[in-house]
Amino acid sequence: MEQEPLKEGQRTLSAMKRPHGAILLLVLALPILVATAGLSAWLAMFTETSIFGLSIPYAIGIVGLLQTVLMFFMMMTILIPYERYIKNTNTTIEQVAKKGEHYVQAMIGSSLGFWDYAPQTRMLFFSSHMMSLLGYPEADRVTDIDFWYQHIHPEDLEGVKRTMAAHLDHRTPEYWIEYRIRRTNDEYVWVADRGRATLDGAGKSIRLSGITEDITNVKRVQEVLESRTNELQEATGAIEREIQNVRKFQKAVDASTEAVSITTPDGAIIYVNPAWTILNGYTVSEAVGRNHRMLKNSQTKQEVFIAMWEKISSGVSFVSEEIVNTRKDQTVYQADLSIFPIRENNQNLFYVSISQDITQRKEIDRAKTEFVSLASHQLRTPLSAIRWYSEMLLSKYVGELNDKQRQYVKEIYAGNLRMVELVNALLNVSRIDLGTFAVEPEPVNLVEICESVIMELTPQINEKQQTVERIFASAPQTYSADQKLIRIVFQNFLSNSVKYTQPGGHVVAEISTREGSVYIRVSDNGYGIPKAQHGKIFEKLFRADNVRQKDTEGTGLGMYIVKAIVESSGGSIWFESEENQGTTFHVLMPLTGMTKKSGFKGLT
Amino acid sequence: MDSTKRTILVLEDERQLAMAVREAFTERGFTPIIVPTVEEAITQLESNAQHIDVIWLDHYLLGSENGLDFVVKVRANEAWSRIPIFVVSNTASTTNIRAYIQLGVENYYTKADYDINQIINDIEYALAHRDEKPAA
Repeated sequence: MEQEPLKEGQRTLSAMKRPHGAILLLVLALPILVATAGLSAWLAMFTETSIFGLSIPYAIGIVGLLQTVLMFFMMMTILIPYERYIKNTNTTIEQVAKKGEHYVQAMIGSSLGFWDYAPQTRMLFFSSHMMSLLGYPEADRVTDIDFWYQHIHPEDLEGVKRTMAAHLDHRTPEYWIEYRIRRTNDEYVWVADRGRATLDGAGKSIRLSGITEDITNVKRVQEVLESRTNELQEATGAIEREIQNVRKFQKAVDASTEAVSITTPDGAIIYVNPAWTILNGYTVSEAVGRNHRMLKNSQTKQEVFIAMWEKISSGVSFVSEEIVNTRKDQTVYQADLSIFPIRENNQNLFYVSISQDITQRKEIDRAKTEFVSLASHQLRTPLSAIRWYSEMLLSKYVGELNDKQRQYVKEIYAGNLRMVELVNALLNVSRIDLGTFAVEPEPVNLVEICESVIMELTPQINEKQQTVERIFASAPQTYSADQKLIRIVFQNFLSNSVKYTQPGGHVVAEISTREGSVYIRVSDNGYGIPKAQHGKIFEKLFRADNVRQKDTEGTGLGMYIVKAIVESSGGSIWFESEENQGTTFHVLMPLTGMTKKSGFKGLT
Repeated sequence: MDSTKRTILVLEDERQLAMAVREAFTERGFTPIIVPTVEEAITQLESNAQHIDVIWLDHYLLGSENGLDFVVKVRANEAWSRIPIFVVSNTASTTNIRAYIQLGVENYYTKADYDINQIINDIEYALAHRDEKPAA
């Protein structure tokens, strides 16, 4: 067998027959030589001049010749096999050595460390490679097994000893173990030992020889593999979870009552939810792949589409309530539409559209608006009549009234004026609530408007002997605002201050600029607002208790309207007030001006 | 007809208000002509245009046409378009108001917000200053 050169060699040798002639030669050589010498001597001494017709020297010569032939013959037949035998033996030995040489060369070539251990003597041979593996100078070393044990990692030592013992006791077919061994630089490296025990004739292990391989790289690869496997598992787990989440979202979207569709950046539909199919009358297969344009109705204004593409192509979401769509069955409906571009790295990946049929809502809104308009028109007509007739009574058109009559008619006139104010305020409030009020900004002079309002209030101001202070030094020259609306703001603030301040009181009006905003302030030192009622000031029809007692007039709608006007342009409004100390209202509006808003009506 | 008295053509279909308007204008020395429809107003203009000095116009009127239709017709007629039109109505639709102003009415009033004498003052002021202007 290849793996057992020694045994093979021995077999080859034993297969060769060992010549045995040498003994025979030894045994026979002496007697032959003695016999020949004796015969020669007898012939020389004890015989006459001739024997058998031969002269005595001749006879001795013949004896000598016989001896030579005999010896020569014997040596030839005996020594030549020996020569052959020796040659074969040499060849065998050479072959055995050569075979061993193969292994040695292979070992050297593989840079494996080779060791050889004799359990009885506890002696250990380390090849030079083995020594260099441990960091020692590259030279063969013969030492005892403790040298090796000392280099093994303490945690692995037990295992190594046990494994070796197991193999030596024939419990395992091979000695094989991975462990850590310490190099001269005190670093531990992972190595793998493989070895085989050599048995004696009785089957007992008398030698253990093997190789040691540095498996640092292998271990490293194993580690990397392990961590990669973990990573992969984690990633798989994460993907699973993501899929679950996505399924949840998909379920949510599928169940939504709002129509949801997803399109590619060029408008091709890739997903529609059930609500969408119900709204538009197309099935999923009829919708996917087609362009959203198929819903387009010519009633939708072009500006809406232009604004839409502008916004969504630059990644901004778009909202509109002015869309008109056509269903599959050619019926038409009004829609509110929100489009959200989904972007990554500044590119649109796809668009998500959410829409609803608002035809009915719009109808209702329109009906409400018309109702309110009609109602206010109907209310105003008799109010106009009362106003004018009272006015004419007071102006002596139909004769002079006595004091009491005059007083009563004045009350009628005043009461009627309150009604007119209330109807106007209600009309404004309904427009605010329905979102149908328009904001039409133009360049205005805030100071002028404020002064004009103050002038309107001059009769009351004078009657109550109040003073008005103006702080207009840093007011902007022009400001972009809807004149009517900003006038309403000043009117409410100033008339409130005048109304809700005692005679002799003081009112301050300030218009200035502050950090990119226009700032308006109206302060008074009047009745104030009780702390408990601060939260309700901007509520509809709310009037604080303390002023309700002092003065029954007032609609309670002014602050609601002012707040809506200010906030619709991105401004803010707030106040401070203390009962019987006074009140200050603040307004900040963006310096860029009021936001244009188209509506059906303006506020009155 | 008294030549110093001004004549005002009033398009108003609410009887209550029409009466108040008549009384007030009469008191202030005008001769009011009250009509409830655009049709009748046109008839008046056709027969009497040179004597009508000013028009009081409500937006909602009896019949199919409203104040805007009337203004369009008046403006289309050269002889009539010199007459100042005052729109006095209770509708507050900004669209309508803007339309009236674009068509060139003299002024617009929300009825309930003004005393009638205030409106008549404005009318007298406008007429006085128009008399000062050279004829169109």
